[in-house]
Amino acid sequence: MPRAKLWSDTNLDSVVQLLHRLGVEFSVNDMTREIVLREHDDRVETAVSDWGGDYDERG
Amino acid sequence: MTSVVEKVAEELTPAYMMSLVMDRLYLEGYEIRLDTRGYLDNSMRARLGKVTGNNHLLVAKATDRMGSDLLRDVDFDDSRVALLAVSYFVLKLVDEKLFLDVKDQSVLSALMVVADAEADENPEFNSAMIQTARLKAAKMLDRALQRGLYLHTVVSN
Repeated sequence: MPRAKLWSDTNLDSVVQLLHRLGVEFSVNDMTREIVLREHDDRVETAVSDWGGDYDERG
Repeated sequence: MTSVVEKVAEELTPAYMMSLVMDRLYLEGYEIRLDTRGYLDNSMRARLGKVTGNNHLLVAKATDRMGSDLLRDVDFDDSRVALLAVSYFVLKLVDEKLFLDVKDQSVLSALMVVADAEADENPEFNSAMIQTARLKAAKMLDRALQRGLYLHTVVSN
């Protein structure tokens, strides 16, 4: 497989994927494609002890 | 001067690189243990807690940039070699005392991958692939240092 296909440039999709993995809640503006974080709460600390639900979502 | 965002991104990058390569292998049909991926994610989430919520996006972007750049810097055409090279790279960071958190999941995963690959009976890795991975790991470390990464040692989380 060509290298260019292996690792894409830093882009919205890969950042979105990483944010999912980090358990960060966010949305993507459909018009501007801008990532908007939801208001911060104690989600990260909760996610650390409650991981595992996201890993079957890979497509 | 390294910002907090960049410092945390450096800490996340080894686990992120392992995750990226594992995802690629999964898409290519290889079996990847979900618990290993989960532990890597867990490790990254714990480190993300070092920065405020407002900086999470900046950390994610910086981590993605660092990890993707290092993988692109080294010419991979086999994802199995990429996984092994990233594993050697992570262990090199430890050997060079640039990443001292030996209990980080990226280090533990790297140890497992290397041990598995170097086992005589593993059909997925031959000696040429192992040698190639070691060379690419050395190049990856060079490029990381050239990019100004890991100028400050990463200690325990």
